[in-house]
Amino acid sequence: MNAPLTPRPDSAAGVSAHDLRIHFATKAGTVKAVDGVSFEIRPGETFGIIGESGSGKTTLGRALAGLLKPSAGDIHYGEHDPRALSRSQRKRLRRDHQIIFQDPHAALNPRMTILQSVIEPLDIIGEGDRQSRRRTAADALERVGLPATIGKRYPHELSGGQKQRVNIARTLTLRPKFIVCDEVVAALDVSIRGAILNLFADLQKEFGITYAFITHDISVVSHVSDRIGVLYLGRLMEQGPADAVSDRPLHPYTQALLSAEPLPLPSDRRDSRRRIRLEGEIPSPLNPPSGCPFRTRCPKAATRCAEQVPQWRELRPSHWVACHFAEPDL
Amino acid sequence: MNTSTLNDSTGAEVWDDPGLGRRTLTWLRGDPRAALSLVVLVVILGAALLAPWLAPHDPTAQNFDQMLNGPSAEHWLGTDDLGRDVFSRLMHGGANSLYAALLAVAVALVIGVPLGLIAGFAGGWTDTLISRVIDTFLSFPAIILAVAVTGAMGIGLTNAMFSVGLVFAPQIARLIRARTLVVRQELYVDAARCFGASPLRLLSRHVLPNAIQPVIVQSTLLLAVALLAEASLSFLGLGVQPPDVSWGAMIARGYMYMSIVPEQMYAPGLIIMITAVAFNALGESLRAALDPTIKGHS
Repeated sequence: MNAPLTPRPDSAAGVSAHDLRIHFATKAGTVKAVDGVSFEIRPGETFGIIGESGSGKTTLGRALAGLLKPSAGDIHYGEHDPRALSRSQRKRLRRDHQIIFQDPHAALNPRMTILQSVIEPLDIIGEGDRQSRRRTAADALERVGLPATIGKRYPHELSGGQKQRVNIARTLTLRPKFIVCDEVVAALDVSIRGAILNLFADLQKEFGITYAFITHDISVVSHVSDRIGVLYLGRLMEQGPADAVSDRPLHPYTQALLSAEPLPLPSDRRDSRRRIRLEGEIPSPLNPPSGCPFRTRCPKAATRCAEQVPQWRELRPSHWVACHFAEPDL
Repeated sequence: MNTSTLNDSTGAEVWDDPGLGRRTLTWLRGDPRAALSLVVLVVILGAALLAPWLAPHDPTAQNFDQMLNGPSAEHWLGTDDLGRDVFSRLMHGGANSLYAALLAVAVALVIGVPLGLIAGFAGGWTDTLISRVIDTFLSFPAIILAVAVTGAMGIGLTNAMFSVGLVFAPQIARLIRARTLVVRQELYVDAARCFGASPLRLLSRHVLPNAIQPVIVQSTLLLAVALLAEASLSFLGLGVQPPDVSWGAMIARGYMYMSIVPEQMYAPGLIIMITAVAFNALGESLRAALDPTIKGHS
């Protein structure tokens, strides 16, 4: 038998979304959490998705992991469209796209030992016998830097970082092709964020995993991503290569997000022009602004923004933006 | 300690379960309340089951020379209105009473737990339907419902306690439904769903274990209530039929001679109380022991 934790053949697979819409009917009306989003995540890359709370990024992530059915539009995994597959085929495809959540504690059943939790995915897909499942679980725990002895302990006995490693380990037992990382380090101490992010990067190299990396933290996302999409009120505002988006952003929203990042400089040495302050809160997705969703907080907003939805334009090579006033040579 | 087992690469030995028996022993050693209540229950249950061999007298043997006597060396708790030995009747009655209480709670759990789980987990119209039925049952006075069910199914201890179980079931269902509504939102349920877990697995491995604790405690409370319900129904003549005996039937009979020989009523009353308290203490300890986040029982 092979070593249990080796990349599966044909491991790399991209993910694409086409005009994805996820609407929730509530008593107050329809919430358009995701409202017409299209993108393509290439095999083996990390696609960063940035957004404030309320931007729909978590909803988008859950849909990408297959936990939510889109109201309209579709998601393809590699060449597969889950809706075109039979039940059993869909079940087989299920293991390929996984999610790791923000709260590592809540993602673990408090009544199951770590071993039970790590073995569970294998129990569900029915791979191997009891002994080989244990071995795979031990390998996975070791691979994420945890001793096998941790298996008999319970989640509440572990630190946040250890718990997130456990979550990674049990996802790893399935050797998925695509993982949605939903704010995976936001709940962790700053001191261990780096280690967890490095672990994600190592696993990507080793197993060829494709990531959708969802976060509100633009400094994290620009470090780990190959490309970035900026989400606001359920729509993409900008999308492009990570360095281009973080160094020369085209959309005023991205510029504002970047200027909100604290700089390690004394205040008199900071470039005051760079600072764009965002006023107020993100509008309610129950009642989004007409035209450009960002116009209510945008420093450049004009009447046109209320009347026309900005076109999705490729201003620089593979760098797209939805803003009437964006210029390629900003 | 042998450290080599800790370094076993397969982890097989490291993760070996110490076994249910040993874990139970460790638990009882660390929890005197649980140990004590378990001992009390074992003694009561043992006395009830072994009554045919241990009881000093035949519980049905009548002696009209010694009616309504107080305690004596011959009859430790005196004799009843037909001259039967109260202590022996208490031992024999235990089996019927415990059977009755356990039956009622078992019926309540078998009906209530799945109903509550399904209602809470499925939501939508399934939940509405089940919840309305539960509400309807809850709006009935329990004893009236039990009388009605017994009337329809026939008089007898089993039927009486079955109907008590029916009366209890909505309480259990409600309790577990409320917990299920909370637990089904938990992230670990989503995580398992993402691994492809079937609804049955989600319910049995994730929802039920995390929703059952209040039911464990409630069941032990219901055991006590069921003991009393058995007494009420037997008192009304719907439960145990003579010459069979139960604690409830003894209270019902002793009640008539309360002013002459009060211990005939106190004795079964006291034993019901002790049993109820022991069940309750055990349930409370069990709940704590089953919760790995409460320290000291692992």
